Amino acid sequence: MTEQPETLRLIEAALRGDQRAYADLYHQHAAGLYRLLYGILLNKQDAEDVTQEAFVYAFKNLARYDSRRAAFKTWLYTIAVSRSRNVHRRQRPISIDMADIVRLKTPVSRDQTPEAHLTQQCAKEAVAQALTKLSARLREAVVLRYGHGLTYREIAEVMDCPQKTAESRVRLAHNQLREQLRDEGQGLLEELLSL
Amino acid sequence: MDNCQYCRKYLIDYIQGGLPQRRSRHVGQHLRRCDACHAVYVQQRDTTHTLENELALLGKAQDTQLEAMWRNIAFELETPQPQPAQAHSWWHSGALVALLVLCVLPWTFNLNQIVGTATTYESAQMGIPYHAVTPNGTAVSIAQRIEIRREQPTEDAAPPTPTSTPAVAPAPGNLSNASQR
Repeated sequence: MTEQPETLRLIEAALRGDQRAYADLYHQHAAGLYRLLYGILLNKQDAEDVTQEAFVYAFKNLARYDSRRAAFKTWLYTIAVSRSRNVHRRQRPISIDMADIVRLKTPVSRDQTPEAHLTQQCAKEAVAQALTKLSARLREAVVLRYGHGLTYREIAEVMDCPQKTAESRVRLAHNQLREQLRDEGQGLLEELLSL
Repeated sequence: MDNCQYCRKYLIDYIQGGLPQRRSRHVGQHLRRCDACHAVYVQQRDTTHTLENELALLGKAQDTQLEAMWRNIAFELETPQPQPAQAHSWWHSGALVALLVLCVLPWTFNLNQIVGTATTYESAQMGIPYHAVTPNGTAVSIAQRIEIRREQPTEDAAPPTPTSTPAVAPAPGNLSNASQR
């Protein structure tokens, strides 16, 4: 596993006490980490809290990071996923905050018809709803695979499980989502045709 | 049937191009022959594309949100954390005091007095005369003790009173022996 030279330089500078390097490391990975945690926790406040916790922990323990064992992003994701499991343990059943989804609405582009835009928006909501029905472990696997494009080996590292387990979790999550999206898709199609 | 199971097991990896060439060729050949597996393949492919497109957008943070989080993180990093020694100093002091008290306790109280009082109380409760221990270690009743003292040629002829007699706890065996006597 090789780390990008730029990230390594920032880590070394941060370890020497360069405050600017910490900020740069944060800005390099914050958006991705927040997106990962939002995909897993499906709650804005929880995702923000765990993002902050993960960065604080990572920066305080930066000297422990070994670039030969994993990429910095993978290490950071491992910390974040581990912390998100603490939230799962003390949490009620997940109910997605639809206000967050609405806030993420993309504006209608000039090439896109309103119907196409509506379909896209519905697909986004359907995916978010389908994710809530998955177990925490399956959700982690599918978000890491499709939302972040991690390899099975990286997923196994982040989830702290064998690679075969990571593969089967992704497959299982994929099949469950396919079933749910197929049901949703038929409903959406009927709705769109009646317009 | 076996081919269908084989094909569906590797379908997702086939869609994502993650299969070795030989295995990928087998799956492709089966899909061209089997309509059922082809239908599943189409569904899987659509789901994969939907997930890749939608999950990439789900939870996209705004710049203001990221900045607010960074301010909190920077504040947290600047705040000095309590050292483990400081955090636990109260507990350490408490444990030390408790240990000292436990060490000093045997010297502070006269154990004989405590046990003797308890025995006196228990004897009174049970209606048994007070007991004492002779110099050779045998427990005897007060009446027997008086008899022993009378038989001994002592200068002090005054009989001991129960209150002035040091009451010492007899061993359970000795107590029963003394009662029998």
